[in-house]
Amino acid sequence: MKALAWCVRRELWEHRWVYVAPLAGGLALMGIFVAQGHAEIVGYLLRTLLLGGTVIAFVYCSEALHGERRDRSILFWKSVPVSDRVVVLSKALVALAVVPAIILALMWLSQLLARGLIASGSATPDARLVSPGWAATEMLATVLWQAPMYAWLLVVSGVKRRAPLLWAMLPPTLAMTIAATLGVPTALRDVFAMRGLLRHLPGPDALNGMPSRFDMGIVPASTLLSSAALWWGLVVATGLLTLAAHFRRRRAAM
Amino acid sequence: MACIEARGLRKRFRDRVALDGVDLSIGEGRVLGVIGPNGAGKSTLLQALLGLVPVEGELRVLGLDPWHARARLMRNVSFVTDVSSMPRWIRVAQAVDYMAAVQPAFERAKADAFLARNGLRGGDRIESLSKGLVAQLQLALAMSVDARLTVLDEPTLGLDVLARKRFFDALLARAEEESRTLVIATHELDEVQHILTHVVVLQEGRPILSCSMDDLQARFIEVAVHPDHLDVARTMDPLHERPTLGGSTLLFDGGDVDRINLLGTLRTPSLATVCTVLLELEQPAGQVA
Repeated sequence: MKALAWCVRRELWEHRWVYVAPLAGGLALMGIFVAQGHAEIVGYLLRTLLLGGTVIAFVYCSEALHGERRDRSILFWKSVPVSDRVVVLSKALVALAVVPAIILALMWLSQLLARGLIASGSATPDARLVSPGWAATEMLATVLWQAPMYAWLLVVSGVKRRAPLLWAMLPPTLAMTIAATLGVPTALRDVFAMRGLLRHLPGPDALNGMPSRFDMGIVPASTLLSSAALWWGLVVATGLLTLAAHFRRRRAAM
Repeated sequence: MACIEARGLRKRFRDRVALDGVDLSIGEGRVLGVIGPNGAGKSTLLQALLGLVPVEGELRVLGLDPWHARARLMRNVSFVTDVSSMPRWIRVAQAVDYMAAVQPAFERAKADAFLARNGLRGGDRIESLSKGLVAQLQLALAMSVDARLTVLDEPTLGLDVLARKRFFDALLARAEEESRTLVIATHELDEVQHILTHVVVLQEGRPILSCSMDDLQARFIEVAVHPDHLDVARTMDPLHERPTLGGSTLLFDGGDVDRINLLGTLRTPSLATVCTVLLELEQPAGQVA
């Protein structure tokens, strides 16, 4: 456990942007909306925050096992008594725990801020706000739902010599394209796209002007958490992380 | 107890053989020198010993199978790679903190003493330091690990004269401690020959010599031969002959010591002499004139 905690810490030393970027971006967004007199929008930032967190974890995972091979530092990290499983787990935890925790804190802050603005009369009182518990459930469902995607990115990051992000996106994109031409797009969209970024892209109603609804996912969190697909996804994620540890053992510096 | 037991180690990369039948039996407290030209398989052998590269053959290090128990093995190992593998982004203090946290055998006071002696600040990033200083830092971190097995891959690369001397002093001190095993791959044969107890010379992954230093000294004899005796000497199957001031120096691999003794003054050849001659004789097939 101690080694795991230090490995997570080590990740944050190397990838400071993982927490600096969402904090800076989130706070800046809130500040801009308040300053420009669009206080009511603060209450609608949840989807943007979730999407931002996904992008950050996405990019981080594609880089996490690639960078140490590229700069040969993998030999340094392997010269200490820390197993490949612990290292891979620590990198997964950045995407599955650290980034979500920061995003959740920002979500809570945005709701708190919106309530404050309503109380002070700066925002319209009819803005529908979400409870801290609702935000936490949404975050949890998102993380669990996306876990196989992050695990897959870690595998590719630990295997490919170049452009791991592109390689990671190639198979799902190809599969979706082929499936779309064959005419079975929805099932595959559920498998690939909705595991990833698309879950937080604005829905059709949001594209027609201001977002009017708060169910920001295409599928609500409660539906996700009770779906078998989510739990099967976790089984797949565990398998992929084991695979990533296996590859890390075999791959040395490039 | 044997620290390293290896039998028939083989490693093939896509286009070349890196290790080709290496056997080792190194007891605890011994000092093994791994010698050979660039690309001979030295780094591969060292990395295989620590479970960083999968190899064919039987291998036990400190009683463990390195490939399957690397993390456990590393509790008792300190390792320095040939080219600096320190991450460029890390700060000096972070590297020390991390080592202290995850390596139970790490002695922080030793590392701190090194930092103080070299004027390194905790906030310095590796990328802001000179190459030589990074090499020194990496060595200092490794030598701060109270390890049963120390593995050093060309540790003096990039060190200045003073740092090199300090390093060999520290190495000698460590070698003299009982039950500490050292494996060192190096080209600096003159500096290490008095520290080593065993030597393995690799050529294209093949061990062309693998023995204890005692055996080496008993086996190879160097003699300065007066020109008058040269014809006789040449009939005695010398391994190598090189002209020296006032005659020739011949190297013999075994042979009749009493007869060789009559040719001139006997000397124990340096490790460098033996290695150079053996490597020249074992030139890869394609390079023979």
